Amino acid sequence: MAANAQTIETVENLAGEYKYGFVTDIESEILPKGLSEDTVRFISAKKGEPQWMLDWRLKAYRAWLRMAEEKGEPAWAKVSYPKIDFQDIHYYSAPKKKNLKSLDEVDPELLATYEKLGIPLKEREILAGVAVDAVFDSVSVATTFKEKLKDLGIIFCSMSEAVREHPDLVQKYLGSVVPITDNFYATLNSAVFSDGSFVYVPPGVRCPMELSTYFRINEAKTGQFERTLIICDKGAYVSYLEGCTAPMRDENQLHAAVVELVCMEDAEIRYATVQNWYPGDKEGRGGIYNFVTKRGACRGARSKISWTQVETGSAITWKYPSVILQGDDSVGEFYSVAVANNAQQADTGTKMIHLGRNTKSTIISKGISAGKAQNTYRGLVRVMPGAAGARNYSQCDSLLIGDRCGGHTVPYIEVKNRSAKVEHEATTSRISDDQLFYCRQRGLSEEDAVSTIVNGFCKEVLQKLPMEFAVEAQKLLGVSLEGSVG
Amino acid sequence: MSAPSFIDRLSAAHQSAAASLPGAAQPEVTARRQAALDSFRRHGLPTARLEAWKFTSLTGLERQVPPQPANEGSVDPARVQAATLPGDSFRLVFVNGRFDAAASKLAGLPKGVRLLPLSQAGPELPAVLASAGDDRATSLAELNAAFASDGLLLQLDDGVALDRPVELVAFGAPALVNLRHLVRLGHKAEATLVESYRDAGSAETGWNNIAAGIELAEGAKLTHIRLQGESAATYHAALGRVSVGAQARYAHVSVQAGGRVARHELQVEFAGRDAEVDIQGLVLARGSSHVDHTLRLHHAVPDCRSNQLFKHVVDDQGHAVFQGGIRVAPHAQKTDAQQLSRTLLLADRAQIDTKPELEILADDVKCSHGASIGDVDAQQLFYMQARGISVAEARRLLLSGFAYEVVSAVPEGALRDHVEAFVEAWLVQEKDGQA
Repeated sequence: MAANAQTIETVENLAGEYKYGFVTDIESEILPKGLSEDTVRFISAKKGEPQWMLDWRLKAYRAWLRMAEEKGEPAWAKVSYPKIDFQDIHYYSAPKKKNLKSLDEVDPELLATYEKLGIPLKEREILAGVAVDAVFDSVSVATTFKEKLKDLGIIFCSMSEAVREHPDLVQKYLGSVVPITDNFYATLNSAVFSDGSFVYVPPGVRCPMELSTYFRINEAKTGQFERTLIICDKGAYVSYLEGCTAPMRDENQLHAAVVELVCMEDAEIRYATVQNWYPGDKEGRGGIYNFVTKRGACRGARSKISWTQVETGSAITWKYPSVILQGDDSVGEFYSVAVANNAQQADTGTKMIHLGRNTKSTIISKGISAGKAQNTYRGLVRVMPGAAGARNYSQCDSLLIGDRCGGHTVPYIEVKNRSAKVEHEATTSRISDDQLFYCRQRGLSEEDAVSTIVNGFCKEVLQKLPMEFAVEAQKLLGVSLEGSVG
Repeated sequence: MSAPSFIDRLSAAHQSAAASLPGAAQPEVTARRQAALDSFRRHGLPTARLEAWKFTSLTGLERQVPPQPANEGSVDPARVQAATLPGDSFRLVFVNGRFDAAASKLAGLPKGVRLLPLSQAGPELPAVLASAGDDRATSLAELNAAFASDGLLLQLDDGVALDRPVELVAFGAPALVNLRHLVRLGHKAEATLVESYRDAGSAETGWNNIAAGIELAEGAKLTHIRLQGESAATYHAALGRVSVGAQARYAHVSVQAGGRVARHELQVEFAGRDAEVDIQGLVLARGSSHVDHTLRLHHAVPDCRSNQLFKHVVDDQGHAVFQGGIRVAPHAQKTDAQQLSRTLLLADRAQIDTKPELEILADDVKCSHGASIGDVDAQQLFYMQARGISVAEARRLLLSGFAYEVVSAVPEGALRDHVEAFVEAWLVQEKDGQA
C-alpha cells in the first residue's frame, strides 16, 4: 500500500540526527515583540474577529495580568529554566499569503517544507485516510478533505474560521473545559491564542478518518499559542492525531497551547500526540518550552476520552492531559511515554477527576530518562463523594539510563467515596546488564539492544497509537535515546 | 481572630514562661530558645498552601487552643496503669508537659545508659534543642524548641544493649504542651523505645506539639513503637528526625488512633552504608478525626534498604493522609526502597489523600510503590457469612486481619500484646454491620 511506503519513508528520515532542524524562509508578517492590550486587539483585528471574541480575549488578558502580579508563573513543577520575559516574545506571525482557494495557491516553499516533514498535504489521500489541517506558525493555510467531512456534517477547520463561521458553537464551548482563569499559561493562551483546530462531530456520526494537525513552530522567537476545541456530540466518534516537529533555533521558544475536548453521551474521543519538538542541544540550549493545558470533559453518560502521547521533544515539558468524568459510566484513559535525554526536563502526567457514578479511569505512564535529564510523573486521581463505584488503575514505571539522570513519581490520590476502588503501582528500574547481554549475545548492537528493550518497556502505550504513529513513535524513541549508552 | 494575634499571644506567653523552662540559667540555651521563637514568629503556623501540609489544616487550632503552655496537672493512676507495659521496663511519665516522678520507673539503670527527663538534663540541652530547619513547613518544631518544657533523653554508650524496653507515656492538657526528645545510640548499641500519647480524660481541646531527634551510630539497633491514642479534641503534631548510621537498623511502628488533627512527620536520613529502615504505620480514624503520616526518607548514601507499609482504616467522617517521600541521591546506588499504602474506607464520608513522592537520581536502584483504596471486600464478607459468621463479626475479623499486618511488625511477646490490645480497643468500638 502506498500508505506504508510513505510512512516508512517518513520514518526513515527520522532515523538520523534531528532531521527537522531547518528553517523555511517565507516572508512572515510579524507583530513586534511585547504584550499589551494593544497586542490582543491587534491579533483579534487581524483575524477579523467579532466583538465577543475580543472581549473574551481582553478578559483573559486582564486576568493574566492579575495572575502575573499576584502569583507569577507556576513554580511547583520539577523543572528549572531562566525566567521568561513575556515582553520579549512575538505574539503574532502569519505567512503572508492568505485566503487560499486551493493547494496551487500555497507558497511552493511552504509546500516544500511540508514535503520535508512528510506531511501528505498534496492529495496523498491514500496515506492513512488522514485529513490534515496543517498549522504553519499561526495561521492555517490549507485544509484537506474538508468536503468529504462536510458531507457527514463534521466541521473540521481552523479556530479562526470557526469563530467566523460557527460562532454559536465556539461561544458555547470555548473555555467551558479550560476556563479563562484556569492557570497562568492557559490564561495567557486565552488572551493571545493565534489559531488551532476546531472539530465538531454531530450526533451519531462516526468520523471515517483520523483527523490530524501538524504544528510547527517556525518563525524565531514566536511563541505559539494554539487553541484546539473538539466537540463530539451524542453517540459520535472521532480520533484526532497531533504531531509536532520544529526547526533548530538558538533561543528558547515558548509554546503554551490549550486543548479542550467535550464529549457528550455515548460519544468517544481519542486524542493522540507525538511530540518531537526541538529539545535543545546537548547542554539544553535552544529547546522549546512546552507548557500545555489539555483537558477533556466526559459530559454525558457512557462517554469516553482517551489520551495517548509520546513525548520525546522539548527542552521543558509541562503537560497534564486530564479527564473530568462527569457522566455516569464514563471512561477516561491516559497512555503516555515520556522520553527525556541530555538536558531535557519533563514534568508530565494526568488528572482523572471522578464525579459521575461508576466512572472508570486507567493511567499507564512510562517515563524514560537518560543523560542528565529529569523526568517527573505527576498525576492526580480524585474521587468525589458522588462518584459511587468509581474505579481507577494507575501504573507508572520509570526507566533510568545512566547514573546522572533522575526519574520522579508524584501521584496524588484523593478519595472521598467508600465504594471507589483505586489502585496504583509504580516501579523504577534501569536496563539490566542481563537484558543487554542477552541482546548483544544475539548480535544486536548496543544501541539496537537499548532501543529494543525501551520499545518493550513502552509496548503497552505504543499499542494504543494509530498504526502510522506507532511506527513513527518507535523510531522516535530510538532517535531520542541515541548516544545515551556506551 | 487573626493569626498574628495568636502568635503575639504565644510570644507573650513565652516571656512569662521562659524563666521556668529547663536550661533557663544557661545563656546558650536561652539564646537558642529566643532564636527558635523568632524563627517561628517569622514563619507562623504551617498552612495548606505548603506542599508538605497540603492535606492537613491547623486552622481550627488558633480558635480552639489557648496560646499558652499548660499548667501542672495530674492524671488518674488507673489511666497510667492502662497505658503502660505490664512487664519490666524503664518508664518516664509526663503529665501536662511535665515529668511525673511518682509514676515513672528509672531505678536500676545499667552502666552506660543515661535515661532522664529533659528537665533534669544540663549539658545535653543545646543538642536537644538543635534546629530542625528555619522554614514554615517545620516551624512547629521551632515553636517546640522555644517552649520545650520537658521530654525524654536516652543515651546508650557503645556496645550497650538494653534488655528492657524504655517507655515514654505522655498525657496532654487543654493547652499547649511541648515535649522534646533525644535518643542517641552508640556503636552497636541496642534499645527498644515505646512512645505513647494518651487521652488524659479531658474533653477540652489541647495541643500536643512534639519534636524528637534520634541518632543511631554505626551498627546500632532501635525498635521504636509509637502509639497515639489521644482524645477527639486534641491537636497533635510531631516531627521526628532520624539519622541512621552505617549498618544500623531502625524499625518503627506508628499507630495513630485518635486526635482531632494528628500529624506524625518523620524525616529519616541515611548517614552510612548498608543501613536498614523499616517503617510501618496504622491509622485508625473515626468521628471527625484527621490523621496524617508524612515521611521523608533520604537515601543519601549507597547500599541502604528501606521499607514502608502504611494501612488506614477510616470510618465516619474520618480523614487519613499519607505522604511518603523518598529521595535517592545521585550515587546512592544499590538502594532498595519499597513503599505500600493500603486503605479501607468504611463510610460514605470517610476520605483518604495519599501522595507518594519518589525522587530518584541514581539508576541502579530498586524502588517501587503502590497504593490501593477500597471498602471491605464483599466476597470475603459473603464467604464468612455463608459459614455462619454474622456480618458484624466478619467485618471485625477482616479489619483485625487488615490491621494485624502492621501489628505483627512489633517484636513478639509482651510488647506485641500491648500494641495489639491498643488496636483491638479501637476496633471493638467499631459499629456493627453498617455495610
